[in-house]
Amino acid sequence: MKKLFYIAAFALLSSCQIEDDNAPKPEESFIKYLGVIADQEAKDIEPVYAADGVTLDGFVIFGTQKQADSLDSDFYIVRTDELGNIVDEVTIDPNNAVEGLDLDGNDQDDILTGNEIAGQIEMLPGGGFVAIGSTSVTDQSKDLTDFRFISLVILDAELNVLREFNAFNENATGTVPLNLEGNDITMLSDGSLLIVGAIETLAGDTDYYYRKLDAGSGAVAFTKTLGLSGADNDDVLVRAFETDEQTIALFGYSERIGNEGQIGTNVGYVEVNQNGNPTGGSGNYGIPDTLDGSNVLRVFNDVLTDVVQKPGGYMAVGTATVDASNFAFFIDIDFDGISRRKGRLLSEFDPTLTTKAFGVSATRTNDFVVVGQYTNFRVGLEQRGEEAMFQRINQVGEKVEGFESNYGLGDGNDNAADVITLADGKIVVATTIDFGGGIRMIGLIKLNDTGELDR
Amino acid sequence: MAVLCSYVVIGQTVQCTRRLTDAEDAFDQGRLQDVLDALDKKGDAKDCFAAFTIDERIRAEKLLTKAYLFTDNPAEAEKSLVDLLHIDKEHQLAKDDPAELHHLYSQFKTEPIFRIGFRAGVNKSFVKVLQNFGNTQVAKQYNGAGPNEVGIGVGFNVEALIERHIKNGIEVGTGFQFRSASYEFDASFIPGLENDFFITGKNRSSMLRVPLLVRYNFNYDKKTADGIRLNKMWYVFAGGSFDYVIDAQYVNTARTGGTAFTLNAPKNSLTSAGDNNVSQVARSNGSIFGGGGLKIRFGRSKVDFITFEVRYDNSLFNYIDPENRYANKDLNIDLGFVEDDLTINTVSFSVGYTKSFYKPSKRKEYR
Repeated sequence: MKKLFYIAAFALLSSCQIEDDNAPKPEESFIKYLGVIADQEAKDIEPVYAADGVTLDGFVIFGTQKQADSLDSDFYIVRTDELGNIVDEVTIDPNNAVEGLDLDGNDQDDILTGNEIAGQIEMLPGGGFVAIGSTSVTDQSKDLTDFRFISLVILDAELNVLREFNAFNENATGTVPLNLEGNDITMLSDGSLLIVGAIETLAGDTDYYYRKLDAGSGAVAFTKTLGLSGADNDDVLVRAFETDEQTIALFGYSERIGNEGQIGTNVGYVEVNQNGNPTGGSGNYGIPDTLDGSNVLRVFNDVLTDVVQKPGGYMAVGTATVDASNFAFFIDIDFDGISRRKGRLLSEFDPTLTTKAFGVSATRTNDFVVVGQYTNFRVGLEQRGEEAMFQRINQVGEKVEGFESNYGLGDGNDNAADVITLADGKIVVATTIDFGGGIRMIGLIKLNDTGELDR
Repeated sequence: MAVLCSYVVIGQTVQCTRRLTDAEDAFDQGRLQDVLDALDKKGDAKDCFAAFTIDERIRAEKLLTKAYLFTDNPAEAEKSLVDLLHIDKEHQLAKDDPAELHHLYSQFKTEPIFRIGFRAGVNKSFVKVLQNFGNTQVAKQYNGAGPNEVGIGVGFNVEALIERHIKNGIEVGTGFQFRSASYEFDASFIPGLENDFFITGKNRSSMLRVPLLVRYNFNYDKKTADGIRLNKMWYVFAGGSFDYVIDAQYVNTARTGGTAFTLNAPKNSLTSAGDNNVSQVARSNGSIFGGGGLKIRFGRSKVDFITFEVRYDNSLFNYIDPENRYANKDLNIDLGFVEDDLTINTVSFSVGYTKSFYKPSKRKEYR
């Protein structure tokens, strides 16, 4: 009897709870909030790999952050482990002394304070990162309103800032403060960096802007602009890719209407060589205009937000604006610059919901996950304000049914900023979640390959 | 008329008591037939058996049993003994009772065929985290361990068990238990800002449990030097249980920070309010348990018990359904809370009453 008693006591005290081996593990799917109590906004997410370049070591998210007691927003970069736990984070305010900028002509560098606007972040071969964005300065004492210049930061693997660069429009003066914006940065096969964005050549007219520079010294190899002349002809580069033939594919949006372009803003593609000169490959792509109830043609302004490379070409996504309404769109462009498919990404919850696309990623089955925002999520009795949007399209541009989902707080202004897919098919999304009271946090959501929070 | 009736009843009682006393005197004097005549249930004594007090009936039945034994009428002796055991469960013979009566008594089942125990009490939960999920930069804290004021996870339980004594103080039992258990949590998003941005709440579950236990009673058959059973009996027990979650919900669960958010019905349900109307908790589970207690004999025959019991329940499997952990966006996103993989273990204290049931009959080997 004593033996029985001891066995029973041991069984109880040993606390033999059993965990199901087949149950999803913490690293397999999660929702996590990162950062601090501030107004944060996610812009870009990239996977972080270990020294072997293959093993996933976590994620890095690039965005902005404005502390409650701060006058302006700063760059915010956070690195997490595979489970989404913060490993390192850094807040960068790079625009105090702008080297070489002398708007007021007093032979001294201007000291400017402004809001950072995050662009893209790229992992460098040595394990560090390079991040590009813009700084917007509004300073009544200097008669500046939304004056923009490029801010670029190089960091080591622990997010220590190694170098900061500012690039500004060299034609800018105190009376003509012309803008220069940085939207993307790509490391080319020769080890140099390619910056793309938009430059204001005249007040109200921006052109494609791209600059190649040495990653170590910052020495400029070339600076190029392309674009239509004339006021309100905005040409903005958004993404750049190096092709297998070492040419460079540039994607943006402009008012060009040739090729497949429609009236209004269209998606643009230009191929250039390593010296920045066009090779002849180009295209303009617009979502077909439609008639309104009175047979008046509705002008769609198709603004590109993200592009991903895929076998045989590229998948571009963006947001079209028409009659003060929005919907997400996609355009499938091959390497010859021909659009294979394009269409609107209407919601299967309710096709009248307005949608915006902010990011796209190719899955291992060559589908595409498109993330963005429902600007006014109302389905049946459920009303949730702005919500993060998840949609999926297959290789022929058809919606994958049952995948679409929404995430966000009931009444917050939430969105999904960017998405990546991992080698195992898992989908990782950087979101901005609005808790109200001026607090927005960066949310990191990891989904399985079917878009569910599951194994 | 009422006064007259009372007088008649009292008069009859007195007569019956005298009849029993006379019968006992007759037995002592060896006039056994007089005993049988005086206590003949089919004759004059019929009304007396209805009028006897309990103690008198016990004396009468025992006297009849002995009289029948000594008049070589074992069949009637057995009937009388059975009648005696119906009145006085587990009737304890005195040392000076005749050996023939002891012998006859030993041929009968006098122990209860089963017992039914009722217990009610309070429990306190202890959460064991199997795996952390959610915002693990700041681990969740349970049952008052965190900086914010949440409760310590108190619930209640009631149970009804049917029990049977096997031998040597070992009993087995099974039945049903209803347990309301809760754990309360305190979680924060951000290290260093726990006072500004946090989640507090309570997860309360109602569970129907089917326990199966083995109990060992110390000194079950021990008697005092006077042949009287011990009035108090300590016991230990161990067993296992099938547990089914009837309902589970969040109570007073809210986020502080930003625009405050409270998880309200129907989204506060864990068993049905997921976005796909699925259960976020594992409805079926299992547990092992053990504990100890004290039984105090209760009632005239001292065969029922008042019990005081302390028990530890160790849940074996994850309380959260891992497949549906994220089924409720109001919980996961609006509130910012993700349940860990965990088990709910409890320590409970209960008070109970155990009723014994008998069917006196001759043992198989003596039939």
